[in-house]
Amino acid sequence: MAKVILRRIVLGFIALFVAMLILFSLSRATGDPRYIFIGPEGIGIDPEVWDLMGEKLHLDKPVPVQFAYWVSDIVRGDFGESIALQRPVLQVIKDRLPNTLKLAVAAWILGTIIGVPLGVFSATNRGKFLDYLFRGFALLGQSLPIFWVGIVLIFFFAAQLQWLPAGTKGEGGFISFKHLLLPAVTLAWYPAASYLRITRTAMLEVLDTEYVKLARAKGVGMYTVWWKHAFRNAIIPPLTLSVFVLFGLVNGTVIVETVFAWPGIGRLAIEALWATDFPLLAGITIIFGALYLLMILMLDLVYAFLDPRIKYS
Amino acid sequence: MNTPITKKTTENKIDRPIWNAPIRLFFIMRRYPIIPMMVIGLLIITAIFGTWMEPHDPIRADVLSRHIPPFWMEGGDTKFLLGTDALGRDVLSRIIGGASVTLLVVTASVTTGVVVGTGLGLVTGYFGGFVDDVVMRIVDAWGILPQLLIIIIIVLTFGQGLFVLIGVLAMLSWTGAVRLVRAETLSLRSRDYVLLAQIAGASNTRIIFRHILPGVINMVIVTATLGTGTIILTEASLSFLGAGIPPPDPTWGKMVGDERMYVGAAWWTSFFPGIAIAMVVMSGNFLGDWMRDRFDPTLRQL
Amino acid sequence: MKPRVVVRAWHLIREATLSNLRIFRNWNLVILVPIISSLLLIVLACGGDDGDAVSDSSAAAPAAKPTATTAAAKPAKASDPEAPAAAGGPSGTLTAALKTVGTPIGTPGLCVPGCANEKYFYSAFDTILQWHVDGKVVPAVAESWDLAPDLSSFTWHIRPGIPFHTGGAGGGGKDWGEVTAEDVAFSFDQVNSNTNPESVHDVAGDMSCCYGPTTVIDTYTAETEIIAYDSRAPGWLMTNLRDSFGISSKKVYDEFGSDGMREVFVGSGPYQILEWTQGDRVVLEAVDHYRKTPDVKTVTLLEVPEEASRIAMFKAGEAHITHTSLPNVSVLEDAGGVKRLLEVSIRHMGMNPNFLEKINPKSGEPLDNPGFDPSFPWVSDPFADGCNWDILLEVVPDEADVCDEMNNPRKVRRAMSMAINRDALVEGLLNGLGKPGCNWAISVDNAAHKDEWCMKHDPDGARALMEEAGQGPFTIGIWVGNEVQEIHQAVSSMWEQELGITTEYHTGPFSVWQPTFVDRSFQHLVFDGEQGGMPAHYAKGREAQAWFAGGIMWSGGIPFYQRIYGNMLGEADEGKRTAMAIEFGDHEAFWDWDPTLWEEPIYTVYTGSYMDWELESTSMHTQSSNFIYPLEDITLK
Repeated sequence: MAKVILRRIVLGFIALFVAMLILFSLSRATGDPRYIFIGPEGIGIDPEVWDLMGEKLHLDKPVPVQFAYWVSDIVRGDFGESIALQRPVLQVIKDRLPNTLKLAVAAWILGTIIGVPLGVFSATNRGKFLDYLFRGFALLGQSLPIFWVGIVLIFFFAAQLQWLPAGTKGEGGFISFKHLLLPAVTLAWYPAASYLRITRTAMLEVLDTEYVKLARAKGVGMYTVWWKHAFRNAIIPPLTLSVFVLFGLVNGTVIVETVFAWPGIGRLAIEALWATDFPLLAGITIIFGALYLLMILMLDLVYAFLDPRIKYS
Repeated sequence: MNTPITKKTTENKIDRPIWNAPIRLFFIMRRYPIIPMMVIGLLIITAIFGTWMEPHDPIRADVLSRHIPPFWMEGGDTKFLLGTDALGRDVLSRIIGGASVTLLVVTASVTTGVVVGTGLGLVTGYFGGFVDDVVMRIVDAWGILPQLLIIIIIVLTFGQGLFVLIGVLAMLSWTGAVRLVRAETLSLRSRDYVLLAQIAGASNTRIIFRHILPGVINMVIVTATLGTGTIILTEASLSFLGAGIPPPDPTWGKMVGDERMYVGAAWWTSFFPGIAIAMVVMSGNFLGDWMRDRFDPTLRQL
Repeated sequence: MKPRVVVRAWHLIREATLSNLRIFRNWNLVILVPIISSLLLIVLACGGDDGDAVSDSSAAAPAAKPTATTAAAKPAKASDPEAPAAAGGPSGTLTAALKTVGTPIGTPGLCVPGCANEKYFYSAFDTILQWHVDGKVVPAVAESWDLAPDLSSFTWHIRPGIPFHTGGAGGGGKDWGEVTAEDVAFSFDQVNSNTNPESVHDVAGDMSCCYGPTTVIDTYTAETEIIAYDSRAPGWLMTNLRDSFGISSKKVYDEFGSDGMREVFVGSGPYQILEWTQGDRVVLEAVDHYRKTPDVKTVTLLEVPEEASRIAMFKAGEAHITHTSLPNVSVLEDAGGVKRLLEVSIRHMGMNPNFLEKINPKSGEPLDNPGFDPSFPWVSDPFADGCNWDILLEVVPDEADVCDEMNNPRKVRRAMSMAINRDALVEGLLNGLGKPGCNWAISVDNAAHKDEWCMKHDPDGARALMEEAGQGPFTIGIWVGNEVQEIHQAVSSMWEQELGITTEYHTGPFSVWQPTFVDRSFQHLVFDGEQGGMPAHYAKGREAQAWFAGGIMWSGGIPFYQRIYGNMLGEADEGKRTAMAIEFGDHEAFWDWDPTLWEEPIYTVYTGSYMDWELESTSMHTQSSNFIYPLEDITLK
């Protein structure tokens, strides 16, 4: 198994490298990054400073050489300085990453504790009213645009009813649940729906298998069958899904953070995009990529723990 | 005397009287997802015949008729059934107009993405080796990049327009298709009938298209259908962030996004397009699920 | 090989957790679990963990508020429990929701555009002089100043006893002393690109033409060398009126260095910065100040990019000050908002080319395309055969003398201007809150304004003019910034309906289109907004400024405007300057280089029942920080 893990890591690094290649080629197509500094009124910068900036970014050298410089910097941990913010990229990301993590983890937890049990329940009560209700809830969650949900929630809960705040992170030290609730709910609906459906189908499959029927025939209690035998096997697909869900949350946070004024890296990425701030953008993308690879690796380990029958191919 | 087996017995007619027909029809129809099909059908009709169905010009602005409420509300006008938006354009006409854009974008991007993905999947799955490694590395690399951000970067680089949008949305679906088709191809490749065909001297192309592709195609269609929802929602998100199709052409996502600051004052401008999006996406998802159950329940893990 | 005991224990635990989840014996509870957890979350949410007292000020919030909600449900962000500040110093809190809080950088020279003008960092830094609401320059950090008779220097007499903040973020709670000439000289020299070539401050280039180094004469006297006198000084660049810079502490610089100073916000203004988190918030706290000790103790500025969220926060009483687009101002007013006019912005379309620049200012090489492309239907070409360059220098030429290659595009521009229904635009897009504009630099309310400069809406006349010019429908490109706005779409639609002109929108940040602006190859219209001041007096010797030499911006490339600016500078007599401004207006009215659309007011809105805002100082410039400036003039009710 160690060999497989190692192979996985190596493949991961290759993927990361190719991803950086894609990112870099896109960046050089958006124009000279130095132009951000010039205010609308005309010249704001000395030509010497202009050249100095160009040297720092190695803009005088051919593009592949620029890429080589860039990759070697990143490998050494130097993500450069954000052009618009004049701060080291890692520091900027570090400041705002916890906020996104809080939001994403909250949404994930919410999605899991709502989606999985409801999925099990839906499977065991197949065809009844509640099954359809929950499936309807899931269908809705996967069909509504996230930003629309967010805006409508703000409108109802913040502006009209005034039960909850309308945005930002709030001032509570570690977390302010009041401020976290609406964004987390908005973000969690889609994952909850996915979990619900996946758990439901997985449970249905497992409930249909021979050994479950055998267990029932042997006279094992219904609940024991469901939890001891069925759920343990039905849990694999939702676990696989977790990685996809967590990564889908990345896309979701970009929008939710914008709508709810949540100071996280999703919003930071959008701001960096519009300001053509390549170092910051690249830093965020690479960090995301690395995190994702980490998650996949962890998932493989969890797989092995839960089901020794699974072999890697 | 023996009655021939093929002779229709008239006694059955008593069991199936004519007045039972609607109920029997109902039970037959229950097997098919009627409402989603109707919604998709409506979408297609609206998309094709939209220009004749629109009561007003969807892109002509008239600032003086700004934010007129729907006709059943106070201040509404039957001329504008669902009200007008911030630039005085009829919401209903824009929804109809948006239907054709939605249909075009979705069909084109899903088709492109899935076709490219399937092709690549077949090739890499069948031939394996170096090609397989290279393609899979690219697929992995693409997979770890945050999709929405990369898409916006590409749109900003190459400009905003219909073709860029289609291309960029196609990139959402190709990796999924490649992985699935490749996995299926790998498993099908070792089947007996494929080995026999190889022994018989069939060319690789023939084997791929005649033997492997049919086994894969069901899954491809299901994936494609299930992917339409994601594509529509992503287009909506792109328009919301300002990176979609430039104005004044209407797309539903753009309508919701542009009017978002008027949710309190003029809710109809974002509500109705939102409903349209939701209904089409729901229908797509539902249809996809149904097709999957129909074709091959073992695909449930998708 | 693990001991059997451990293995067994491990298996037992595993079994226990995975299989014996007793709670799920009762299936009904399965539904209850998500419901209960959601309820728990809601209860937690309403309880909250910041323990704010319920605000009485919520009574001011919208009438539709359900009065039955209990105290626990009110998410009051800022409370006002104590009596207003009259006795015992500043008290109370205030929250504002802004579109952006800018980029926190404490080093003067490194403060990029977008940080530099955050109104002297949200009233935390003080400028050397101030612009009073009466339109006069009044003392601030300097209690008086002298202009040398030969216009060669400014001498600043600095007020003794202005303390630097002890509680400013990053300052470590230390005592940084008082403001001295050293600090003033340091601040000036840091932002001036003549003395600090690395300066990326907003005014770096503006100062480079005209100001040399600042020297310390004695503890409270500093002298700034004037290279080229600008008749707008010292109001211009030295006060909070538009662009300027705050006074920072040299001691901080000595201690932390240029890079370290980025995180340090030690100023001398009425508020000190406790926290400035990019993308999130700024927290300010009042200090005793020579000008006025503020009434409100703690001010929190939140960054909320979404307008709908800002409106929701205002309605819910979470934010007391905010700003929105004009159509939503009435929504805020219905919720108890009082609007305060910041400035009137004149929206106009830059259709003019740049006739003057022949050399690329960046590379020094000759421009291929001398600032314009005559093949566009709206661009007049004075270099064509039979055309006379000098005609561009007259106030209003005789039309018969203007050659076709210049006159026909003029007619096209005029037709495009005539096709726009400005009244409808104001009525529809601004809710009637603005007014149609006629000249992009001179407001309709200005005494010098002439009615004949205003373009009448005349679609038929427009079509006739287009025919006269022999021009059929064409396509035009517009650069719109990051987002296409309603005004762009409305105007494009009018052009399409009346004249058959199609529009292409070019989006993207300024930095992306900058190269085409800088090398003068830009081929799009730009919709821009001006502050409606009269054409400014420009300093001699300002050729380095692109603006003067032919302008990356929208009217700098017109020879007549350059002449006017050149004449206005140093003209002491106001009457004569006004006459020149009128010439400017007449010229524009003939040529239509820059058709004006409307004059729109920019408002900041505050909760009338919570606070009063009597201004003593004022400024122009639509930075986001302007919406909450000046903070020290706010009093809580």
